[in-house]
Amino acid sequence: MNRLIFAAAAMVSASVVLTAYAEIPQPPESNFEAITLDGADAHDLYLNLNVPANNESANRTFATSYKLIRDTQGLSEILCKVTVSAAVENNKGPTDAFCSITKSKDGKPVPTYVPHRVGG
Amino acid sequence: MKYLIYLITAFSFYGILARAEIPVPPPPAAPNYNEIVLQVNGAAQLYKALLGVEHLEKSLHTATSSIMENGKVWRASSGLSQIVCHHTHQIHRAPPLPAGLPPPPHPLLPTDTYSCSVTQSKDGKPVPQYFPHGVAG
Repeated sequence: MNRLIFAAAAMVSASVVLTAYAEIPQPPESNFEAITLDGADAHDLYLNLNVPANNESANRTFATSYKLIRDTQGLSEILCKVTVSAAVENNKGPTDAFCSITKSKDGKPVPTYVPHRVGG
Repeated sequence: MKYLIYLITAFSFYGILARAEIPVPPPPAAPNYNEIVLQVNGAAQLYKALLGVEHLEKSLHTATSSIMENGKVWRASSGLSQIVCHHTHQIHRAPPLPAGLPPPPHPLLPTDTYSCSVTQSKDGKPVPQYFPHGVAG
């Protein structure tokens, strides 16, 4: 009898756990595919994109700028971002570089890059 | 006895055939890179923005059209990523009209198409290098 009660309790518990798991909202799958570059490769691509560079943020120690190419329909976007240390700005490469190439998978616009404007 | 001989002969043939089986080539290895292909507007913008030497891929002229295909390539010095873009410019020509007929009311406009392929290594080894016309060197 005890075994039967134990088995029933185990089944009820499993059912509750499964139901609770099923109710957890799963994060939405992204609607885009992306390739990301960093380091020297990203900096090289940044330099090879002939579009105006935008200043994102700057302070006494760092300056960040980015280049953005976005499809007019928003179906693809290329972002390259470079951060340069003020101390090495004149004679060395960036301290950080990053590029992402994103493309929509479902015909809906990909998320657009929103710069974090800090400083002046 | 006769059936036994048949059986042995059949097994022998089976053994010979099994050994003579044509070796199945291994399946082609999966590419070592991820790829994103941009078309239309996105590719056009990238093509125009990408610095670098434009090379002629193909040039074809016929009585009714003229096609020129150009390419641009950016390859990271590490070889781990690469962008290959193509631009095809096609000029359509109206077929020659018999003498005395007026020209068509609307001139045929040229057609421009763009495509770009962005590849990035998945395993830390260089992605295959693109050569125009698919010719190495």
